[in-house]
Amino acid sequence: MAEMWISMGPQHPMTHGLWTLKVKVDGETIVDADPELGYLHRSVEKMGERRKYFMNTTLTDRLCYASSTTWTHCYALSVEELMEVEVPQRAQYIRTIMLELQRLASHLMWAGAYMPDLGHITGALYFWRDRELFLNLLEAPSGSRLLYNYIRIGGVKRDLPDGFEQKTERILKLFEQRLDEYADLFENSKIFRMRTEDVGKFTAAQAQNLGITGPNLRGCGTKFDLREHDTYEIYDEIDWDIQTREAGPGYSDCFSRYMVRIDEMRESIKIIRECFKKMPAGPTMASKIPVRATGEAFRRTEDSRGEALMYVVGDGSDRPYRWKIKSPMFTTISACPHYLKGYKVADIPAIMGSIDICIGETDK
Amino acid sequence: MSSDREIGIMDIIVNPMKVTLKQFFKSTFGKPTTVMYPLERRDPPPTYRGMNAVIWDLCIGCGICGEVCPNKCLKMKPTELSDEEQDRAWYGSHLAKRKNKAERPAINFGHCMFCGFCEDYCPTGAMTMTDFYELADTNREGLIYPARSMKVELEDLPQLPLTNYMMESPVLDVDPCIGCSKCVDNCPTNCIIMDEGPQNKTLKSGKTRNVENPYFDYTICIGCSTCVKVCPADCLHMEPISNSSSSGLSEEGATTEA
Amino acid sequence: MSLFSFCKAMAEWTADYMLIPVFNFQAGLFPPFSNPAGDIADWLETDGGLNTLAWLFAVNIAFAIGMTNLIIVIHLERKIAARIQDRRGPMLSLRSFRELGEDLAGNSPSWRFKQNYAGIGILQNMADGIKAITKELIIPAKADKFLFTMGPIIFISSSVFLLVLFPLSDRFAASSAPAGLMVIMAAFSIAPIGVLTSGWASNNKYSMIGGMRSAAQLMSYEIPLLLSMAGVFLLAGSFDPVTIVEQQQQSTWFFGLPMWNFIPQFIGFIVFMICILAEVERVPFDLPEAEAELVEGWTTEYSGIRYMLFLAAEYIRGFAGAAVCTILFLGGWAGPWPVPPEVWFLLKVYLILIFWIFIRWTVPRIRTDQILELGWKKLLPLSLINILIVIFMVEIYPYLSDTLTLLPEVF
Repeated sequence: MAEMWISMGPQHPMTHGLWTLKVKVDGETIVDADPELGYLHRSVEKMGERRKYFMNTTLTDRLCYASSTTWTHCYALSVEELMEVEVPQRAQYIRTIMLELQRLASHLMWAGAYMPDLGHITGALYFWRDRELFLNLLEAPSGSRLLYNYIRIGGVKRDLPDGFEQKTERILKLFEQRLDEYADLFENSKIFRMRTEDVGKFTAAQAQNLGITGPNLRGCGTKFDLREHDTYEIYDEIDWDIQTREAGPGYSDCFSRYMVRIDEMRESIKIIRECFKKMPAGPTMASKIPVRATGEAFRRTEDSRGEALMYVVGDGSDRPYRWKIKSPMFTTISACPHYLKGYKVADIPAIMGSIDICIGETDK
Repeated sequence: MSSDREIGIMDIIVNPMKVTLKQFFKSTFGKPTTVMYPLERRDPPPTYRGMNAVIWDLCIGCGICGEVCPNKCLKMKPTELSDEEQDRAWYGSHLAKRKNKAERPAINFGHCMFCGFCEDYCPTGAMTMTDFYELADTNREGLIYPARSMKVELEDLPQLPLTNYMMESPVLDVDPCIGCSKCVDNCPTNCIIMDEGPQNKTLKSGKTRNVENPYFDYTICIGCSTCVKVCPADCLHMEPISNSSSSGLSEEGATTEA
Repeated sequence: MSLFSFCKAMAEWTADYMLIPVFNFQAGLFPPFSNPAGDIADWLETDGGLNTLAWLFAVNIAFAIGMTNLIIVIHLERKIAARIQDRRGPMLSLRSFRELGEDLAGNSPSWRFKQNYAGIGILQNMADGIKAITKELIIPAKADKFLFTMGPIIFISSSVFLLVLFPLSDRFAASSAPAGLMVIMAAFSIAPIGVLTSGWASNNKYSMIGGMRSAAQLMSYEIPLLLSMAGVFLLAGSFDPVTIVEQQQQSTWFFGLPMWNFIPQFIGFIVFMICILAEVERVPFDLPEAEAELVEGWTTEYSGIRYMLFLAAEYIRGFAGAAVCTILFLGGWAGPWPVPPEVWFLLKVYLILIFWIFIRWTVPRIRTDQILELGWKKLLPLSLINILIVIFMVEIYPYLSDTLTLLPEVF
C-alpha cells in the first residue's frame, strides 16, 4: 500500500474530545503525524475578563469536566496571591482533601476511557463504577456531581458535612480492595501488557524539552511534582512520596504511564487519610476578601494531567484585566508526532489514551 | 505492589477471567449497581444544587441574585403581591409596600448552570436550591420559569441577620449630591436616611438651597448597589468594606453561612 | 428416524394431498399446450421431485433452528456481558407492554409497574431488528455501488450457508456430504472475499485498512486451523462428521470413558480454539472492526439492515465455529442416554459460546503484527507438532505396541 494520510477526528473514538490527528501511514506503520487543535475553543480567557473575579470559578470548573476542582483551585490560588488573602488552615485541609478526591476521580475517568481504547469495554465500566463513589463524595459538600464550584476565592464554600470522614474512609477501603482485585484483570493481564509495553516511548530529556509534565513525566522516572517542588496548601506538612515508574533507564511507555497513575491513586488515598487525621477546627473562609485588585500574580499547581498555570492581571476594577491559562495537555498533545512515529495504527489509541487527553483545558 | 510479579501463561485468560467470573456471580445472585432510574432514585445530599425556590416572605427584592448570576439568566421581574403576601413579607420589604410593584426573581433554566451563586450571595436566605432536578421540557419556552412558579412558603421562617456577601458598600461623594433621596426610596433594606448636609449649596441649575445628604447604616447594608444605579447625579460609588471608615460589619458576620 | 426421512414423508404427504391436486386442477383449467403445471405434477410423483421437496423442507428446518439459536446467542451475549459489567442488561419483555399501555394512557409509573422491569429482555432483539430494518440504507456517493452491495451478499450468504452444513446429530442433518467438514471450512473461507470487497468498495480509508487486516488475518489463520483439524481427520480417517464422532465415542480411556479428541490432541485443541476465534473475528482477534482506531473497520459505511446482517452473520459464524469445535474435539452429540443427542450437541456448543463471551469481556484486543506473529510463529509449529503426535499415535504406536507384546514371545 502506498503512503497515505488518514484523518482521525474530530469525530473519532480515539480523540476523547474534539481534535484531529492526521497520521501518515505506510501500510499499518505510522510515518508522520500532525495534531490539529482548536475545535473546542470557547474563549474562556476572554469570557473571564468580562466577569467579576469570584464568578470565574464557574468558568474554571468547565475547563476540564473530569478534573474541575483542580482547575478552580489553581485559579483561586492565583487570585488569592493577587489579592493577598490568607486562607484559614481548615480550609486548606479541606481543599487538599477535595483535590485528592478529584485526582482520584480524574484518574479513574482516564482509566475508564483508556480501556475501550484497548478494546476492553468491561474495564471502562469497572473504573467508572468506582468513579461514582468519588463523585458521591465530592457531591456531599459541594452539592453537584460534576462541576462543583466548591473552592472559592479565600477558602471553600462550606464546611464538610457530618459523617464525611467515616463515609470517605468506607469508600477508600472499598476502593483499595477493588484496586487489588483489578490488578489481575488489567496490569497483570498478558494481553494488556502486550498492548502497552514498549509502545509510545519517550525519554525524560525529550519530555522536558517538549514540555510534557505530570504523570507522563513521572512515568519516565523523573521525580518532579509541583505539590512538593512548588508547594501549596498543606502538602509540605503531610508525609507523602512522589510516585515514579520507568519502563527502562529514563524513558516511559504506555505501561509505565498507566502504573504511575495507579500508584498515584494509592498515594492520594494516603494523603486523604492523613489530612483527616491532622485537620484542625476553624473557619473555612477568609474573613475579608477584597473585590478589586491591582497588580499581577501567577501560581502553578499539579493538576491531574500535569502542570497547570494561571496568570491574572488586575487593573483595580472588580474584573481581571488579563487572565492566562497554561494547560499541560496542550504541550503534551502538540508533542505527539515525537512519540507516535514508528508504531502501528492500532497503537494510536493505546498511546494517545495513555497520556490522558482532556480537550476542554487544551483548547480553553 | 501486586503488579511486580512475573507474568506467566495463566495471565493470558485464566487469571483475568477469575475476576470477571467473580463479578458475574456477584451481580447475577446479588443486586447490580444500576439504578433503575424512573422507578428508583438515588437520594441527593441535602446540599444538592437543583432547581431554585424563592421564599417570598424573606425576599426583599434587592436583585443581588441577578447581579451575581454569571450567565445573566436570572432577572428581577415586577410582580403583583396580594395583600396577604404583603402582610407576611419580612422587614425591609417596605419597598414592596411603597412601590405598587415588588420585584421577585424569575429564572431561565435553559441558561442556568446551577452554580449556586444566587443562593450563596442572597443576603436574607430567601433564595434556596432544592433537590429537584427533573427540569427537562419539550420546548425552550417551557424552561423559562416566571417568578411566581418558584415561590415557596415555609411554616416557620428562619430569621437571619442581613449579611453583606458582596464585600462592598456605597460611599457618598458629597459635592455632586443634590439631595433627591432617590436612594432612600429604592434601598431594599431601609439602611439609608437623609440628614443634615451642606447649607446654601449652589446647584448646577444655579439655584441655592439647603441640601440633605444620605447616611448609610452599614450594619444592615447588603451591598446591592441599587442606590448607585438609581443615583441621578453619580455621587455614589461602591468601595470595599475594609476601606469605608464607618463600616459596622463585624468580622464574624462576613463568614457566617446563610 | 432421520431428519431426511421425516422430511421425505412430509414431502410425500404434501405432494399427494396438496401440490399434485392443485397443479392438476390448474392443468385442467387451461389448454394443455404450453402449460407446465401438469409437468410439475408429473415430476412431483417421481423420486427426484420428492427428494428435492424433502431437501427444501430439511434446509428450512435447519435454517429456522439456526436462526433461533442466533437470537439466543445474541441475547446470551448481552445478558452475560451485562452481568460481568455489573449491569442489568436488556429488560424489555412481553410484560413491558403493560407499562407501554399505561404510558400511552398518560398514567405515571407507580410501584406496581416495577415488576414489569423484571423481564429477561428477549424482546430487545425484536426491537433492534425493527429499528435496523426501518433505517435508511446509505450508499456513499463515491462508493463502487455494485461491489458495495455485493460485499454483504457474499459475506452474509456464505455465513447463512453454514447453518445447513453441520449436523445436530447423526439423524438430524440437512446435508450429509461425506466430506462434510471440508465443505464447512470451504464455506468459512468465502467470507474474506466479501470482507475485502466491501472494505474496498466503501471508498473509505478505515474500511480499506479493516478489509486488508481481515484478509490478512483470515488467510494466515486458515493454515494452522486446517492443520490442527488434520490431526482429527487422520485419527478418524474421514471428513465425515458422523464418522469422526463415532470414532471419538469408540476410543475409550480410563473406566471405559470415551476419549474425546481434546484429550489426545490437546495441543491441536488449543490451536484450533485460538484459530477459530480469529476466524470468526471475536475479541481478542476482532482487529478488522476495532472500534477504537478503525471505527468498526470494514463495516463503517454500512447502515440499516446491512449492518445488522453483518452482525448477525458474525454470530452465525461464531455458532458454526463452536459447532465445528464440538464435532471435532468434544465428541459431538455423544452423551449419556436420557438426554437426546441434539440437546447434548447444543449444550456443548453453548458451553463453548459462553466461554467465548467471557473471553470477549475479559481481555483487550491484540495488535495486527502480534496476531500475525502469533499465527505464523507459534500456532503453525504447534499444529505441526500436533500432527506429528497424531501420526505417532496412528501409525507408529500400534506397530510399537504390537512389537512390545511380541517381545516376550521372542525371548
